Amino acid sequence: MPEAFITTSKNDLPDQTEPMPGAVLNVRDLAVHYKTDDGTVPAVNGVSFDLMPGETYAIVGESGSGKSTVALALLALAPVVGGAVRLAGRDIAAMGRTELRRLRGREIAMIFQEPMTSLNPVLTLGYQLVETIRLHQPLDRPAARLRAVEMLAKVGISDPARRLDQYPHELSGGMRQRVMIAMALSCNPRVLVADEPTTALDVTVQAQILSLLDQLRAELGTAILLITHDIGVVAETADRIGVMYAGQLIEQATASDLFETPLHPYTRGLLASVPRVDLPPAGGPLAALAGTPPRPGNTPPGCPFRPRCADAMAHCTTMPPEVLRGRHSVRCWLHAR
Amino acid sequence: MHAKVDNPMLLKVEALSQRFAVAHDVFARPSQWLDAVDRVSLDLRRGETLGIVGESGCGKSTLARSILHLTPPASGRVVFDGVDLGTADTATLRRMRGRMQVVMQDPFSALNPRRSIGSSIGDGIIGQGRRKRVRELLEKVGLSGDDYGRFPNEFSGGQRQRICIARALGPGPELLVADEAVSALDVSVQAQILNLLAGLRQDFGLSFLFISHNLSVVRAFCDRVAVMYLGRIVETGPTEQIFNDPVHPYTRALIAAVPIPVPGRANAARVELLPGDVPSPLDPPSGCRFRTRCPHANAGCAATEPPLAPIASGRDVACLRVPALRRGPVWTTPTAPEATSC
Repeated sequence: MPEAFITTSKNDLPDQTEPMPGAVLNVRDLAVHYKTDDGTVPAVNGVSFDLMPGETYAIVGESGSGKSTVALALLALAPVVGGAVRLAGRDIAAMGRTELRRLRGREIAMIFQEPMTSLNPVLTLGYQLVETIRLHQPLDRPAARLRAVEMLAKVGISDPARRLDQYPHELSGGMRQRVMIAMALSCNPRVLVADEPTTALDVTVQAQILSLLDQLRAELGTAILLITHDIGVVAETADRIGVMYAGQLIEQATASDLFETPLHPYTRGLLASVPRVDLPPAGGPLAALAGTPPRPGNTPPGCPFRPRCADAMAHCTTMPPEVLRGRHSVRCWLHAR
Repeated sequence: MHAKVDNPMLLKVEALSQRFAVAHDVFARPSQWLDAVDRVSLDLRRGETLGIVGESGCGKSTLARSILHLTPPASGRVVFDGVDLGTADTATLRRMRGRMQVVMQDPFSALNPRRSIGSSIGDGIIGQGRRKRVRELLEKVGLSGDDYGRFPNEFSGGQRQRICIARALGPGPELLVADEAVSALDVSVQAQILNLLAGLRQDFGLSFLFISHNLSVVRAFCDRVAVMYLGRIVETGPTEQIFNDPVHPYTRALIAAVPIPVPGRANAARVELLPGDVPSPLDPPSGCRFRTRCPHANAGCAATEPPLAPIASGRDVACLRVPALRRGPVWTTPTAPEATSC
């Protein structure tokens, strides 16, 4: 086993080491705080990761873990209070409004969970697609329309030219998500952020959409940041995985490493508590983690998982450092020595 | 799972149909109907758990509501412990309702936010010692008796689902209908609630009608499974037989589509993935309703509606092409039990 390194930096929130060479997106020490009536809620605390071109990086976590906030922060849509997001070497925090508008859609695009609410119900699909394309590319209307037809065909929509004149309500949920993917990829962005893209869909349609995303990633070389709570979806689509808990990435590894040798007690508990469709039940109770995830803003000091952790020690009242074992990183005192 | 085939029958559903008027003509007469549930028959023995699976819009929740007579069925019979609910008078129906309780999907909208959880749970309890009984129930579901006076907003989703379960247990039911009862919960909490339900099932000898779109959960929890597609049951049988040897092409595709939390594991099953979407229930295909997406469909499937017919002891399949179908597990890699599995 490679020797473990402990890295530390200011604020007790250790930074990951050097950015990966050639990464299209670097996120370092990202912190996002929401201001609410009950005070400031730290939704994301010191998240660092890199996204390589053409890879699928999945952030997996339970509700309230801050995974969607990370997604929004990448498009400068969330109140970032610390850290840096660099897209192709440029810091998005330093960008002005106009520059951000040019960035969103062109360089980094996003698809959301709910395809019903992401499309404007009173405009045709063609209008919405052509508008998106013309906003970012110097094409006239007929050329943009051709591009729209091409994109719809690419995402597996039959009879694309006719679909352009249809309205969103004429399509099923799976079809609408295909249109969203077509729209997001129409300007060939470097990064596609997919926030729970299949959660609202039935399993048979989910399988179609996941395989479509994977095929387009291979074809266009787009890097995909997949945000999901579904461990099965992660196992089937991700190259690398980050596990989020209470606003922090507590473990990062390649998909095979994470599933074969999960290091963090939370990851281990999470993986064990997923019932398996392909295995007969072992009998007896399911392996369940005790307790519930902390509410955002109500996290205990030190390791946020401590109250639920079977391996908690006295040490855990101080924030564990990020420990690197090769390319597998974990934020837990168990592995810090 | 234990064999429960000798237990006495608790619930018998015969040719239950439910339809809703979705459009009306100028005289306010229904002009278009949606057949949400179409001639569904099933039975449930005491202590048995029947899982009802299917995708959204297949009618599984409507079926549950019709069985409970929350919306009286359009036709068909529901017999609970020998009493026909359709012909029962209001007083009898009220009495029967205490014996069949329901836990819904969303624990946030299922509790009155302005009432303490103790009084919500106490509603279903008649007679002396109500307060004491509520405290017992709270402890039974893993909360504290001192939570009696607290309000729903003080609890997390998983805890609220525990409260809903305690409330359902109040009248001492024999049948618990769980309509997507763990679907809104996080994975780590979902396992806790499933364990709680399994414990209660054993302690109280409860029968379950377990409605879920999550096949992994159904495999872990149910004795028997009924698979629904567009308002009809397409396949039913003992859980392990269904998962090890699914017969109906829809059952096979549904199981094959479930992502497996092991990288690379599911790819072998992907050959059975379905094209297209579920057709609109307003205009279902003629004959077999699955034929538009079925790889085995031929001309006969459009003409004849396949009956749910036995293929083995306790197993029924509604398909005209049974001899031509693939059999065996959908995963070609061996299902060796792994050390990491629960």
